[in-house]
Amino acid sequence: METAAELAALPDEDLMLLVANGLVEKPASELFRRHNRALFNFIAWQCQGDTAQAEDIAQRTWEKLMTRCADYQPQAAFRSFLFQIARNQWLDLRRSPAESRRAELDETRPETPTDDLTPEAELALRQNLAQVHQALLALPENQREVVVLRFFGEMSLEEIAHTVGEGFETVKSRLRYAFARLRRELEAPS
Amino acid sequence: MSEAFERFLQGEDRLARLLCALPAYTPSAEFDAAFARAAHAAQAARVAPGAIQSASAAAPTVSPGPLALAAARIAAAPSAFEPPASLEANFLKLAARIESAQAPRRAALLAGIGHGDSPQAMLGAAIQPATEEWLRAQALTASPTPAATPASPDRQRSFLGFRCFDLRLAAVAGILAVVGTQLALLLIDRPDAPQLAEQDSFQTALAPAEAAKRINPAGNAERSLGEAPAALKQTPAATSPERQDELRLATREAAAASVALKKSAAGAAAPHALLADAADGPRPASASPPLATVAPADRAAVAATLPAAAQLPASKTARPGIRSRDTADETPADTRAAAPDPPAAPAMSAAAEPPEKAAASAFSGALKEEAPPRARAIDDVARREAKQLQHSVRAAAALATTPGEPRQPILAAAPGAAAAPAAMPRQRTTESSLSVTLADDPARVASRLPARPAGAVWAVYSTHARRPELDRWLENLRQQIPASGRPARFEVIEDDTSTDPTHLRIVPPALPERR
Repeated sequence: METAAELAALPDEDLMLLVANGLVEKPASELFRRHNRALFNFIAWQCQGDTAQAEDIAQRTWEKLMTRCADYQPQAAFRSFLFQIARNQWLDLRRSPAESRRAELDETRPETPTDDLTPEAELALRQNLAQVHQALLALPENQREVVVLRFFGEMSLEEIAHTVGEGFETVKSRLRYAFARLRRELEAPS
Repeated sequence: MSEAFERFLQGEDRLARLLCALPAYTPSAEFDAAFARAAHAAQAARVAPGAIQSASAAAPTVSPGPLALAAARIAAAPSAFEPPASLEANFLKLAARIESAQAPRRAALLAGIGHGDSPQAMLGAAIQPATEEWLRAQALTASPTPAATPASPDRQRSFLGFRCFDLRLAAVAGILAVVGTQLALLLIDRPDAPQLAEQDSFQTALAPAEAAKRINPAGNAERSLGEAPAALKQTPAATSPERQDELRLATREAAAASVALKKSAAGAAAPHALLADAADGPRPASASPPLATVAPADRAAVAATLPAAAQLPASKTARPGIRSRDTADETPADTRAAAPDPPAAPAMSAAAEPPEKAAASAFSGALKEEAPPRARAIDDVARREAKQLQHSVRAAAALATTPGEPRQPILAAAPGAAAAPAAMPRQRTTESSLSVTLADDPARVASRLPARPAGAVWAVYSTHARRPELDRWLENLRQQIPASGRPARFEVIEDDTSTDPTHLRIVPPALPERR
């Protein structure tokens, strides 16, 4: 369709403005087509592979996006806005405040590696990606979250900070902790 | 911060490459089914199969933002988790529902753009030129079908060129006009009660003077009082509206006459009683004191009527249709007039007898011929009023009696007077003349005149009968009288009892007797 093709050329923020001004169906469908896959993947990682819960959270996220679109500020990146909604939905459904506090308290201060993985270690891990997958799932939620957003959502640190509602340094710190934990888990003798 | 971590953040180290290679995650069987359904639904939902690829290819040429490129890259890259098709189907349903709910907002936006407004101004934010073009295209496609878009509020409210607000205003104005007209008609139909009472008291006060000049003095009073209710009773439904109005006015006049007599008696007994009576309601000072405006000769006649006026309670009890003022004021005048009256025959037969005897017989006759409940009720009222007014009646009679003349044994002559006051011989309302001057307003005088059948000949007494100004004034007065009671002419009679050339005395004709 001509309209769908034209809409595919428009930026996310303009499409979101159209949704906020009553032009809902086609622009929102275009946004859905662009971002639902990454969104669902992010939620699924956060749900540790529970796709049913991820689907529920994703549906709530899109519904909230279209019904609460007046909250959207054109200056903000649309993806940050969308993932923020999804994250809040996930937090509401998934975690209790006690769990959230425990996740923060469980953070250890591992020593940050100063060098890269050896080529041999990389080759061995490529042959056993399930170990990488398990190591990622084993990360604390707040660390896994920033890793997923950084490497699967392709978000910058600023976008991640905006999405999770934390400061830039906090996001960077969580990434550093995740990096150290992953290196430790993956370099440990199996 | 270590260099390794910096390279990790940039996605350049080996760990980052391993993470990006993670789609090696093995999906479950359920996930495979969901993915298959999602792919099928996505294929069906997309109108053009190559839309995504063409859009992705065209995006860099229009606005190849880094985020759009990243999104396209994410969409193209394999993922560990795929959204199910039901998610998209639910999303499309939800989007369609919200789309219909946002129709007014969308219509307003497209209408504004269609009228030439800037899309950026309408959206309130800066947008890409491609977005502006797309919005203008949507406005153009929406404008040729105005029926599909909701009408503006003004057009919705308009009907045949008038707004609903105007129609509502007109409806309210119409209702107010109808109510106002009915109220005005009602007020016109009901003359001011105090004013009517004053007029009749004035006329009644003058009546003895007229009675002294006429042959039939007092016996006709009771008869005339009984005429109107009797006429109403004789022809309750067959009379014409004009006739009914006439009879109603006559009844009202008779009631007012009895009230005036009562006031006259009370005024003779104690002058302050008139003041107290005047406090019952607002009354214009120019029309209030009847005695003050009466000629000296008439004043003597008024004094002569006081003994008769002292018999008012008996009169009231003898004619239940004419009630006391206190009780009559509780009901509307029309209700009083429309109330069935006792047969007039006993009262009229009693008129031929001496006053006190006639009153007693009229009262007893009325009681006999009336239905028992109503008669008892009237009897009770009469007894109460008789007791209340007995003292003032005696005082008034004593004051009105000429010194040396034996007092009339009013109450003593009436059998059972202690239980029921005797009837009072009333002055004929036909003799209730009206004294005016040529300086008076004919319209005001006409409003004070009693009602008489149309086409009658009225008598006017004046010192100088043949005067053009008198004829003009009388003609003007005749025109001011309603057509239902307008006299055929005024018969001017020379009267030398008054020295004032402008003074007139208008005497209405007698009402036709009914038996």
